[in-house]
Amino acid sequence: MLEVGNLVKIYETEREEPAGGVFDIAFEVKQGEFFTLLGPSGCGKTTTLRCVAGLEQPDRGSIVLAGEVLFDGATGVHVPMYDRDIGMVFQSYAIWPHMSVFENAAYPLRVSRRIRYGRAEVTQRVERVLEMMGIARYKDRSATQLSGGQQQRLALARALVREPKLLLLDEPLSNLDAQLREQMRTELKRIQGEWGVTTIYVTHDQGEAMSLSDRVAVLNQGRIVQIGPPDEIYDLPRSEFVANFIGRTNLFRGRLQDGVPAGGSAIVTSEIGPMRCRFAGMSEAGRDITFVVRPENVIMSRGKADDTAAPAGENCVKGLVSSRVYLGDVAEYAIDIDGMRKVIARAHPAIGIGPGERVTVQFPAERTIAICE
Amino acid sequence: MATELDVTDAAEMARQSAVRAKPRKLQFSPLVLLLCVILAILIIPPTFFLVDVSFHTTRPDGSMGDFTLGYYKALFTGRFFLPALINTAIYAVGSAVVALALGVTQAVLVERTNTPGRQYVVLGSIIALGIPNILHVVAWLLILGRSGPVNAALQHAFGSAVGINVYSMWGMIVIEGVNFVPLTFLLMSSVLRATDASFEEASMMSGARPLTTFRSITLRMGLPGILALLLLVFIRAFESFEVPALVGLAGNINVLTTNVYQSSRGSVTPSYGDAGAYSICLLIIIVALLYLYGRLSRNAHKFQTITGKGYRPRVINLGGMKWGASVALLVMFMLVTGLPLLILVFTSLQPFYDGVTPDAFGRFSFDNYREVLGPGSFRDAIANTLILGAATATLVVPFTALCAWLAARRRPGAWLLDQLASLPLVFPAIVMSVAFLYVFVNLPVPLYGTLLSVIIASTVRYMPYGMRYAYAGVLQIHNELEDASMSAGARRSSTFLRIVMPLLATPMISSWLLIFLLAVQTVSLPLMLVGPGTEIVAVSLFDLWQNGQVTELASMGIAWVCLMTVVSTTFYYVTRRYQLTI
Amino acid sequence: MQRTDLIGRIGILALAVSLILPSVARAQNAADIINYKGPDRQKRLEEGAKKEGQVVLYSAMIVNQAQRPIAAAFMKKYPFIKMTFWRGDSEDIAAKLAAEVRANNVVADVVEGTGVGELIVQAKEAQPFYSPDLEGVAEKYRDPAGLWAPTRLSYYSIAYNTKLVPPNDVPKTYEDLLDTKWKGKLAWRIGSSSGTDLFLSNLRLAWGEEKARAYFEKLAKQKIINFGSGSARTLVDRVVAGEYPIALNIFAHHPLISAAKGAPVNSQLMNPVATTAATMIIPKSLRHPHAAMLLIDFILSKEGQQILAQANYFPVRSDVPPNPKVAKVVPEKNGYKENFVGPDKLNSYTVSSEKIYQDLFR
Repeated sequence: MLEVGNLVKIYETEREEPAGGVFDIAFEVKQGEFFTLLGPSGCGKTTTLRCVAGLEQPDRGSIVLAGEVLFDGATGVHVPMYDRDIGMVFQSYAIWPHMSVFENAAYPLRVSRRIRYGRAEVTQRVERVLEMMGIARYKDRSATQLSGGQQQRLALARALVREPKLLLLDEPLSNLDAQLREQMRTELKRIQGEWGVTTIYVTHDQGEAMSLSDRVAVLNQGRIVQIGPPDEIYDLPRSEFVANFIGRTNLFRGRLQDGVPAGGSAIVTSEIGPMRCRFAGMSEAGRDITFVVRPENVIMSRGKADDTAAPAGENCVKGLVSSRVYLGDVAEYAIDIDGMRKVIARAHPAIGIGPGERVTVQFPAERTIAICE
Repeated sequence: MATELDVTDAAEMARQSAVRAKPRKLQFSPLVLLLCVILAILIIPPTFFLVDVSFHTTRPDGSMGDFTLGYYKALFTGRFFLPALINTAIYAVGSAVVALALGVTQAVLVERTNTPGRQYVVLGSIIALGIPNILHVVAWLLILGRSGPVNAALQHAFGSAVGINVYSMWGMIVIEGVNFVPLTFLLMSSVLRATDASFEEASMMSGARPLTTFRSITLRMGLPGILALLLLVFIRAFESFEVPALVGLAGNINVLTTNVYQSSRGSVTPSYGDAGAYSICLLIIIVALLYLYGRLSRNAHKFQTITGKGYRPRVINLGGMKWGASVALLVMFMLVTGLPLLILVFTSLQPFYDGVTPDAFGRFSFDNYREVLGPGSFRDAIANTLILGAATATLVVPFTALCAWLAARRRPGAWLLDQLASLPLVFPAIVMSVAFLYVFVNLPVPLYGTLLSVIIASTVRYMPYGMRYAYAGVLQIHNELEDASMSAGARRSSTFLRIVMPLLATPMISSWLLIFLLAVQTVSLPLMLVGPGTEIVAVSLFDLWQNGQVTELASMGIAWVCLMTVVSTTFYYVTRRYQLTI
Repeated sequence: MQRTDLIGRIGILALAVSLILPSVARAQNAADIINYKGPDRQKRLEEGAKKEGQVVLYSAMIVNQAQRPIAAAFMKKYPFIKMTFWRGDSEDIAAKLAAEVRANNVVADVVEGTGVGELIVQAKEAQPFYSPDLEGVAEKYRDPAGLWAPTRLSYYSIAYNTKLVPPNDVPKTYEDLLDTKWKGKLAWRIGSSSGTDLFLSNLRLAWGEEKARAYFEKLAKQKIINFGSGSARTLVDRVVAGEYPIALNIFAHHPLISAAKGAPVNSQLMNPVATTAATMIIPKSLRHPHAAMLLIDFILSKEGQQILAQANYFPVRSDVPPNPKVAKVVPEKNGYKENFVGPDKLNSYTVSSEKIYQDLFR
């Protein structure tokens, strides 16, 4: 549905120094897909979204929606934002305070030029979309009388009332409190599924990204560093940045002993000892390797009080629990290895291991992932 | 529909409505009370004088005579009343329309488009504001008068029968309207600049073109600011005197103010009763209008746009049309600033003025400047005048910011602040100076005749302008930002100083400059209040107006404009340096 | 019953308690000084002025050409006196002084202007004085009651644009103004006692009420343009620019000053030539009587009058000739009859003249 190629937009300060932007962004979004742009502040995700929307004009590259060229740096085509068949939900919702709920949602139909909507049709469409969002009963109220969550749904209704080809969402959940956010997340997923509208979602919250998306593009400093389905991003990070950004992780460095083919596993001599790691891609011997293991995959077992022997089993190290944090659904442990490195492990809180205890930590080989660029 | 969401919604809405309900008793917070008292001290005595003088005859020695309703009767029953009323209405509406049309267009082009050259409009407006009011009118009369270049060109092209008569209603409307454009532009700019871009972006993403967006979204959301502007312009036209006197009278067109003026000159001793009666009537009207304005912007919290969630005013790319827009800006610049300046420069270099003729160019000399800039009252007056302007602006701006904030946040009793601070709008210049004279000359404190007394009177006079600027500015700051401050532990005073004032910085700076420029060029106010030995440029200007030739007047005006431009541009660039925009 | 406003009442009460006795005493002394005629008058005045140290003048005269040079010369003569001045229109001066007197807060020592003296006399706020320099002034310009002294004369005439009005067409008498070719082409200045009111009063005094009234009714048919809120000078500038071919009742010397620079304008005297005198008075309860008298002497002296002549004003002293540039409009010296509208007549006729204006010409 959407093809973005070689998108470049560079911002400059008043003194003509480069001050961020995006460099060479390229991705595709299929029809009906929920595609997320994920990254920390300033990574360029909002810029990319606004370029697709037409609110910013890129310097170079191309944007094609359903076969129609919206932007092409080479030929100079730039379709203005009001002529693109795109609906957008803004971070601040941008609900117009001087209009009623109904009028806010009806606005896109009223100003539409390509298609003229009759009064009856406007009423029908608006009521339908308001009904879908669960705010139909407030339709005659002033928009300012809605709560935060309702305003957000109104913004969504407004974006969808025209049944656009593409829906853009700019961090729409960031202003909601935790409980509402979770509820809205579920709602959003459901609505998007029902409407089947191609969606691009921008967020810095990787929990949202993981739960909502069909595919995720992780951005850093203006470039896409990895694109893939959530589980791939999570389990098989292809860079340190992605590994660290998505979820919590334990990260270690070492050197590969022998060469390894794609999909194979091999021993990496690391700072915490030799560890068997899984390799997604081929690597030659002697290479410097960084590998990661997620805290929830770390297996922790009590060591005997006087046990000084080396731990048995592959990928095992001995350590001392330095802290335990209770998070409600899990407990997070920080374990000192040889007094230097810390390993983060997550376990069910019922496990009664406390700070100061000796433990053996094991990284299951198939969950110890070597980062292959 | 998911019932979970509904439950959460209901809870949130209940919370919001609880916050919004406020007690409707008549109470005053202590700070509001203090400010009301200060304002009352400043504004009640002159008002009292106006009321007093309108109900009593004036004896030859200036004291009040017997009670009389004669002035009010004369106001409403004289045979000149009805035509004057109609004329005033036409004049007020006409000049308001001109001022708004040009000012709003300029503001939109400057703030919301990529028209080339738009960065100079602000400078142009500031320079225009530096031209003393009398000179503005004189300049236009020089241009459009019977012997001026416009008529000369028309006659050249179409024969001597063709010509425009500027001493007519349209002449009055155009000159007053154009005169007011810098003010409307600056106020409107302020409003536009503070609007959250995402409202307009949302509109355009919904498929609305820029023009539709402007009409349906920008204008509607800027309504409080626009209403305030309308109020100012309309009232100003009702109490305006220079244009109707210089332009209208010569064409035998009477408005209410010139009517009053002519009646008041009918006796030997200047009788202020007529002017007083008129002012009181205007006062009643403005109180009513302010009440209306208050009701209309009561729901203004809906229009709060500075939410702290990041706002960047959106710039519309006009494409090829931007050159057309550029030309439009140039034309407006010429109308507002360029043409008056040109004709004044031209006139100032002449020994006398008789039109723009080839001969005239041969007569150029700097004699007038030598006269004016040599040792004399002008030179001595500059320092005092700058002090007057700076002091007035520095007093008005923070004071009105505080009052506007209290009024906009609906602190108990603060509606009174708004009313009080806006009252001086109706004091016509003819009476204001006398009113203050009476107050100061009777004070046991030796303020009479000092520059300080002029500063105080000036502060009162320009309070309404500061108030409107500040009010529009405060309205656009979301309550949330202040709530956040107070929940972090700051008291109201800290919140005001650390949160509200910095956010108000932009409108406050514009306000400061505006009031400075207005205060330094008021002629009528300082005239009576200033004491011997205290030189003010306005008095020198008036001296030349009475006793000197228009050529000398023009040269003093140009010298003054140059000085004002230097001050303004310095101000402008200093604020740019610190990244505050005007 | 005299009404004062609330603040005034408090202020006056406060002042009264602290000042009433000394001010009465002051008033007594002042009257003696300003009327003193003894041989050692000059010495006494100078000694007293040394103690006073300053003097304040309110005047309508042009600042740079008149008030400043007078102050400079005066202070050169009496270095121990600091002279400051305040410039205003006659009406404004009257209002300001009236306010000061009523508030018992009189700042002005000498007040000068056309029409303002009479207002103050009528309000009973002036006090009589004597100056030996008055001897140099003709009797007809002096006040028998000694309440005011003349300072300068003004002559009024019409001004015409020499390009728009050929020499043969220039109206030379008031009757000429009734010619229909001038309909809609005459302008005069309203809103000032030296404007329309003086024009009307001048003719009423010279011709008598009946003849004058008949003339005015005919003149009203000429639809004279009412030029408001501008000075006489501004009106002349308009004539120069060609806006109006003819202006009535302007200061006769203004067109000459412009013409000297090449402007196409000229003045034309008509019998009777309206003439007024600006006057100066001394307010009651002034603060610096000694210095005030020295100033009055100075303005009436040859030196002072010469400074006024330099400023293109017409000296009231017989032995000081006017500036040659404007001597052309002195009526008696150019074959015209001067009609002196004395300050008392000026005021008493103004109200009725204004009524005629409102009835016929507005």
